[in-house]
Amino acid sequence: MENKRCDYLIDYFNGLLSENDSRQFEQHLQQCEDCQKELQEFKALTEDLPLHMKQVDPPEGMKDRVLDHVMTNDPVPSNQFIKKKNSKLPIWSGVLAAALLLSVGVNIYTTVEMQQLSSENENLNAQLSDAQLAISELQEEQEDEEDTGVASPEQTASLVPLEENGFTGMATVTDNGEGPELLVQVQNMEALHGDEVYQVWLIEEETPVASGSFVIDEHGVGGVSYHMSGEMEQNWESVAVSKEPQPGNEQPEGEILLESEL
Amino acid sequence: MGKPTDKELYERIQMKDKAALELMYDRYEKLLYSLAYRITKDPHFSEEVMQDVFMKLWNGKGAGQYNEDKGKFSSWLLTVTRNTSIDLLRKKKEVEYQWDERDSLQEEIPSVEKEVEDQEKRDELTEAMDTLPDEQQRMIYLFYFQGLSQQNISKVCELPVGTVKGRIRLALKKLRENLATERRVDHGK
Repeated sequence: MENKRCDYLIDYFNGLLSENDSRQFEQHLQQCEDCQKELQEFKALTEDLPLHMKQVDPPEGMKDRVLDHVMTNDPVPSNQFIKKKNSKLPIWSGVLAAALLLSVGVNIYTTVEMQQLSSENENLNAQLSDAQLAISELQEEQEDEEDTGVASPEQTASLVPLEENGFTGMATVTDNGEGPELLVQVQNMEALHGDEVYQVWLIEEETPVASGSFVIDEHGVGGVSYHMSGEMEQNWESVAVSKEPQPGNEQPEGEILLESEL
Repeated sequence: MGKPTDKELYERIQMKDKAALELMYDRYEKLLYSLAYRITKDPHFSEEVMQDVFMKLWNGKGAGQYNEDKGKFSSWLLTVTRNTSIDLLRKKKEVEYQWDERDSLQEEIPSVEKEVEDQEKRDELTEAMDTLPDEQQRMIYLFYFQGLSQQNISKVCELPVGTVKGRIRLALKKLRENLATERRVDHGK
């Protein structure tokens, strides 16, 4: 019987076994030293063969197409992945474009342009509109400040969840001539209860400084903009988002959910 | 600071760092594409392989999950690329087989001469393969470049199933020896 299992080695190596057979072979592998050695030998004999092949030139434009494919087929799309159609710019410029557009959300033209851009992906479109709405709402509250300058992103960073919770977000530092502004947008966040808020923290040497709080809509989307006036000289290391039991906390009570280095 | 290692890049990719994915892409584009092209012999299929491989890297699950138990990162990535290539080849062939299932195995038998002619540019591997007896070349071709099953290799080469594994191993060992000799000769020049 054992012998029979050893016969699967070639097909296992070539990925031809069904999931079930593959798992059974792996179980067998743990007990069969011969197979372990043999598999190791096959790996060793084949692993550097490609290094002896003449390298051929990939077709033109493949890089953009491949990376584009990865971004547009990402199962967890985020609004950073917008790319202008037929753009000669590398796909990564989409990140900047999205951030830039979001950061001038006050400008009414943005809405039109945003929708044009995001029409490439309806899912994204919906999420973006939500995020944008949340930001516009926030900015309406500060309308008396009359921003006329065009903001440009000085720094952008993806907010990364500290555990597998599906939360995503983005932090952008922009400046429209009136001092740096931190813009945080998130999506896929879990619902808040009671007085709970999401709180943004700028962190320097492990000391968090409260930098705006926000609530989310029914789709888990939200965001906040925060004027960093007078504090920009400080060397912020990272930005983080936590869930706090109430607004106005000077120190985080809840645990950090999203974080990114700046 | 210096250049980030493969492992560092991989970890950053798992954090959905696009810049890291691009760096990784630049680092491996030509090598991986060349391998995919060698196996699929088609630029479109090869590009499809590249998309698949980088998708796997980005998602970091299943076949795209790397850890140090899997050996050197570059070797692992080449293995993923090879597996993706032979997988794609197999899928494309399955479609063809629907048309003519009976003759499919016949088509698998490579003509060694043709294989060599097809290589416009010869390389170390071709040279090393060339000095092997036909049967050994065929074993390597069917096993490594086509990813055929043990059963199919046995049919194509008219060998008892039980001897296939040993023959492949022997052919691979011989190939490695040839490669090593070539290297020495080249350096001697």
